[in-house]
Amino acid sequence: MAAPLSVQVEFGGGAELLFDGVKKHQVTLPGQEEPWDIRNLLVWIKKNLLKERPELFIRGDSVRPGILVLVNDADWELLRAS
Amino acid sequence: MPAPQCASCHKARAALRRPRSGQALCTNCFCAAFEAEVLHTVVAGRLLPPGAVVAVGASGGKDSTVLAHVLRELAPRLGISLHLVAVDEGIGGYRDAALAAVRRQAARWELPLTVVAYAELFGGWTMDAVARSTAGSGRSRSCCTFCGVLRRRALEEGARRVGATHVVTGHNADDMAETVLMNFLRGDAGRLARGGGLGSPGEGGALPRCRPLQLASQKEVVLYAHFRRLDYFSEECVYAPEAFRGHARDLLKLLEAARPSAVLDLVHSAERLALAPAARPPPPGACSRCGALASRALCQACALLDGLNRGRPRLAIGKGRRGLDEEGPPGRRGSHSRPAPPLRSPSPASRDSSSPLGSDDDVGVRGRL
Repeated sequence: MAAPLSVQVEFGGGAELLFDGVKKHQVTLPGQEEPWDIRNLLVWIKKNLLKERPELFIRGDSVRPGILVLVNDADWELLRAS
Repeated sequence: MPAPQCASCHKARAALRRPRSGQALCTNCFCAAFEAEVLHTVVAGRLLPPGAVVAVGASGGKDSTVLAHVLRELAPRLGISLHLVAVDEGIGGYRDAALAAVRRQAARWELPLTVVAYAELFGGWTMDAVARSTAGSGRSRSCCTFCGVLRRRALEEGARRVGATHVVTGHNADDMAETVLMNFLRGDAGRLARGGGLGSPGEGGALPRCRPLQLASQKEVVLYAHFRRLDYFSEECVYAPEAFRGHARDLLKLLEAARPSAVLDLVHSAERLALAPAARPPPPGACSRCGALASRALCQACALLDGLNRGRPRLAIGKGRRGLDEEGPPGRRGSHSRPAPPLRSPSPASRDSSSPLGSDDDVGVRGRL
């Protein structure tokens, strides 16, 4: 069970063009059953923030190849348990 | 789980894992390593000797921004001076915004900036005009093919105007790998044959040209720009969706996801290619119009402009097609009553399509997501 979570989501390097040109978004993710992770954050972003051309941002349940994801300025690859 | 410690300074948390070595580095150690590698590329390849006056092809995009920033940091150590040269292709709504970014950079870095425009150099042919002219030619629009050829001619001209001894562009490893794929997919033996090496030494009057970021993966260029908070322009060229390079890029990204070293491996493979004798291109001669190095009677730029001016824009596109002026082997000056050429080469036999693995076609989708 995850409590509501306040996060800052930033888009850059051209990705912001899919979000009406807005780079910084302060959002509150709603409380839900599953804990929040990047995968369901991406789903939430697609549903609530993305304005156009989802195929340029999401592929399957991850980002389109070529899009970089940083969590607190660290590459998310470093944070995966693999 | 939290990020591991930096493998270099052991003090800060790592921000990324380098694609080639797998080493986890913090932002400062990564940026330092990135800069050290560019320095090594330049020094080991003797690309920019002390005293060089370097024209930096500046588009306002992430690659040329990172290139200019890093070279500016390294300039005192290398003993070189820098000039920014920006090319205005005449693409409404896109290039103006990009040029504004370059102007901001020139002011912030206190570097001289020269802008060269297609309209001025090529008899009024802006990319928008070329796009209109090629729109009805069947198949997808080929305006990107024109842009690639004309852009490098424009960059050369701009470099000459500022008295440069060398030209640098921000091509990264991904760009090089995409070009290799494109050349294979098009069966372009000529370009594959010229593959390899870090730059063109500059034959017959053309300025030596190199790509100091050639061994840097695009991901690292993007991260460097992010960590150093560099201001750059990242919109996609309005014609980019129609460029063939986009397909090569998509393929490359999929390959990279499966095998991260694929990008650099492709570049190294191209360097080691040897073509069968029958596939090797003939030795180049001189363009019968402007004197630039050419493998046919007309150099690519003249042939393309010729086609545009005659209202037959597809004239010089695609292998095996020949410009109307060709009357025999390259180098022979045919007699014709055409008006003076749109381009005047300052010295004979300067190369037209200079860089190995260079993208003569397709400006590419450098700003694309």
